[in-house]
Amino acid sequence: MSDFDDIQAIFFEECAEGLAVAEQGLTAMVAGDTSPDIVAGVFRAVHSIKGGSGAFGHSALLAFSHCFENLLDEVRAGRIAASRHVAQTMLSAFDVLADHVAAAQGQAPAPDDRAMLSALEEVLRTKGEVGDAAAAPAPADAQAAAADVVDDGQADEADEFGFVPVGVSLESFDLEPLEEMPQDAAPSAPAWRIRFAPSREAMANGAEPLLVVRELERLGAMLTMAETHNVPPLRELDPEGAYIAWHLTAPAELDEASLEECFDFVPPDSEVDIGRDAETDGVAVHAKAEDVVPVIEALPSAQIHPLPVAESPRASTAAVPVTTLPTAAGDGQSQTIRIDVAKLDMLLNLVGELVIRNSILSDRLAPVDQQRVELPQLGRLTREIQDTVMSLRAQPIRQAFSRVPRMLRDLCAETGKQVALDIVGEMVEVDKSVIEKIGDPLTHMIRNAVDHGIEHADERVAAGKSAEGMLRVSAEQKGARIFIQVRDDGRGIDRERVYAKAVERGLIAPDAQLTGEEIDNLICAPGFSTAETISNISGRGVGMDVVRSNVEALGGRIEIVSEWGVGTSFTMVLPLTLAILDGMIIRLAGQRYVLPLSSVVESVQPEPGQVRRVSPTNEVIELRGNYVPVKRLSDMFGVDPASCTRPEDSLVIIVEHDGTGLVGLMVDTIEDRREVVIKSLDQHLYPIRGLGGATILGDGSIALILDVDALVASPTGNGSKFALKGMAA
Amino acid sequence: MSKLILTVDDSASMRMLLKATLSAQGFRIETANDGNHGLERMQEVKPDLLITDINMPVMDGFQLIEEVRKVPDFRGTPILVLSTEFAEDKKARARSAGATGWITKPFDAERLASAIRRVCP
Amino acid sequence: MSTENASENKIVTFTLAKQLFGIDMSSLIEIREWDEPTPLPGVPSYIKGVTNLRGNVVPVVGLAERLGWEPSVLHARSCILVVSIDGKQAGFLVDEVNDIVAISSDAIQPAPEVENGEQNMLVGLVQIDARGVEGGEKKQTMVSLLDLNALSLTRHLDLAA
Repeated sequence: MSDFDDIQAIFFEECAEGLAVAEQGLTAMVAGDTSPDIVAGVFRAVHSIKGGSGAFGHSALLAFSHCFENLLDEVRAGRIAASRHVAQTMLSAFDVLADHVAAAQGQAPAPDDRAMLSALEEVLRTKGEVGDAAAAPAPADAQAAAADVVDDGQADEADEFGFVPVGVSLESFDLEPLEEMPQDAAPSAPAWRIRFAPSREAMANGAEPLLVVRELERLGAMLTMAETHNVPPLRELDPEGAYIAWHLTAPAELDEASLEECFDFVPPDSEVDIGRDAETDGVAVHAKAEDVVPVIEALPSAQIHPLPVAESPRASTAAVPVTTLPTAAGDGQSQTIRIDVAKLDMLLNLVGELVIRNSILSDRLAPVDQQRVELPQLGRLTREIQDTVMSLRAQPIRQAFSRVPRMLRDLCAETGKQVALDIVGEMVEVDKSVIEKIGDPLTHMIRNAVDHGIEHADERVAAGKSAEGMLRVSAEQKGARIFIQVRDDGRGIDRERVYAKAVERGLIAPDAQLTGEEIDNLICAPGFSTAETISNISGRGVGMDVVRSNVEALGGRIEIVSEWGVGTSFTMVLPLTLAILDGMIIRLAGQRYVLPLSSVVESVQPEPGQVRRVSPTNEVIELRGNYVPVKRLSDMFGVDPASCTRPEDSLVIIVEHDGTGLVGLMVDTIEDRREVVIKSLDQHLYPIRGLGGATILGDGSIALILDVDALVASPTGNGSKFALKGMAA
Repeated sequence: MSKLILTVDDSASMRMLLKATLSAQGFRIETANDGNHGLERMQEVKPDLLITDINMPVMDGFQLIEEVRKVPDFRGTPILVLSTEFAEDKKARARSAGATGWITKPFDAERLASAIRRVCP
Repeated sequence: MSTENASENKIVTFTLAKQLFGIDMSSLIEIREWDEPTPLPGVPSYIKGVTNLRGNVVPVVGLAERLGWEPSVLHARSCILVVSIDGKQAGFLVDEVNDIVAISSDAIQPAPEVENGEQNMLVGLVQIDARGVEGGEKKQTMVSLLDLNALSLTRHLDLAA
């Protein structure tokens, strides 16, 4: 039943969220923060997972989470102290739990949790005291217990954990203990005789004793007698009190359990007697139920007026629901809503159109709008709508970082190295597509850092470093860019080895002269990666070249900085696509381009002689005593210089870029400063270096957005071994 | 006119599962995702029966039951707790808060329906 | 042709360099008049630039050049076929759009062998009824079916000099 699958899919999403909360909480607990809120949060998360797993029939997950929850309950109630040992055990249990969830979704085989279960049992048994008690019985018990629960599944009897599927009542009855009923429902078996005397407060808590009688009747029982001697005179009558005791008989074939079940919700102090009527061998009917004259007035039941059921909000059941993450674990106030990504994209497109139309309108009406009131207001309103809608797609990058702690734990276990993790900037917001696509590159870079970067503990100590290595994963937003960095304090890139390998693979000439940076970048050259870097995690060859092309497909680039003996950092620089860019519109040979204003320092109308040629390929501009290199946009774009303004009349725009400081770009003129909507180019085309997208101007024409860093970072034609891809050399 | 049940649970998948199960049994269902919300919905839809979980953020099941019972209109409304827990002290606490009955998860659809019939006229 | 034939496809036929080509109609988004696109720096000459397609920035390709021929000469009936290849959109400049024709997939014959190193741009060849003169006999003419996937612009083309 596909509805069930849809609902189960949502359950698995909830599991993912719960796992994230639990991991965060447990990590905090291992670090020493065991405040009640945190423990309660972890408990609730595991509790929810357990609850749903039963409902959806995942017995292995159910069994494990139940055991885990037991321990958490003890810790939550303060009966077991959350020592580091206990917290560490629970963190390891968390990993197994996560594996169970993955197995339940069919993504992986079920984990072997016996060792973990016995570890949990151990902690429960010893109350967290770390002793030498590793009694042999414990593992067997845990195993047997787990096996029991696994086997029971939906069984009705209470098992070792007291799991009873349904209908366990609130209080214990004063009943004879359950007897083994004779299996044969022989006609000679006597009928049941039932006496039910509801207590005085029978109507409290919304209970209705008469419903119990009706239910018994539905099973086949019949009212035989009513004891009315307790009914007081009318004026003393409490309409909500119960004064009558009822007698019924029930067919012999019924089993006692189903009769008892009817009394499940009967208040305490009621008298319930169920027994076999040994004397009669038929059903003796004393009076029909309808003949029983109601002694008590119909109770004034609560005035319940069922309202017409409102149409529940159309929650999307489309295959791709998007969850906006609730804010940090402690805050239960935020509400979330699931949105279909396709609808969001449509909305974004429409809003983009709105901005453009508004811009066209403003242009056309500007001469008429003398007051300059309505148009700017409309513009502001449009901008606000756009900002809000944009922010819907932007999500904290935390999602992309969520797998990192577990990944690192596994890597450390695998390599035997010790690495501490520092995550910075989780709340930096990026477009959803970025989150989806940096997962793999991030994985590869972290893998590299642990495999090749960070040394083993003894090697580190010998080098004067701490035994534990440090891995820092950070996200930062600067202007129209996102910087996602993986940094380690390991041994750095072994340039000699890289150089040798590149020569070996025919990537460079044996005598090629390369700068340190160029050698580092060889790692990303196609064909460089070898079997050494095949990852267990992704299961396929991890080439840094794959990483580079993934990042470039997002319109970004990778920067590598490494220092021998100190460490290495890989930085993914990504544009904030779907963003609004504050831009400077410039003209070159009749074409308009957009320069991100965040990069622009100043613009200069050069005096004669201010721009000088210092070599056949290099020019500089003299600026307040300094010399800033100048690049002609016409050179970079292969535009015929004849169609551009003469250099003497051109403008030089001084821009700043991350690499080497200031550069002057020579253009024809500056047209305007405007906020533009970035339209992605690489939706439909391969990434072109030097372009950070395009925008549609008010008149419908297209202006290309320049990626300043890419334009100036890679050297053009000055002996570099790397041709600027996508740019005319 | 079929009975209207308000179910309160902080797990969306559980709410949906309950709704699907109970609708198939012929009940009309409204849902709420935590105690606070549940209280509001009680006032809005005035159901014939309230089914609530215990472990919820902001306002847990016990508190919800107590708050509901404070409202005169709802003093006689049947309230069932639906929870994975089964400890006696929890059940006693629910009872004193004013719950009519307690059902342990995982539940069987038929038996849940008959339990509802037992409390809901 | 039987209209209940399950393997029936519709193709759009167009003229390029005096030859008749066809593409699967399900890939066609729209047909636009020729409009000078905004040029892109440092791309192969067959990528004419990008154009504004209802708010999307879509590349425009000179199809003749892409197939290795002389660039198309623009004239009154030149137009751009906007297609979707694997979700990505692109516009192809053609000389003239002809018709929409239903063909059955078993009528497609394999394309001729390609020389080494060249990529086969064709899915196959198919005969269709030519638009004859009124009263004339029905002629058959050959349509070369283009493989749009081979024309995709999103794979990173190797531009190494």
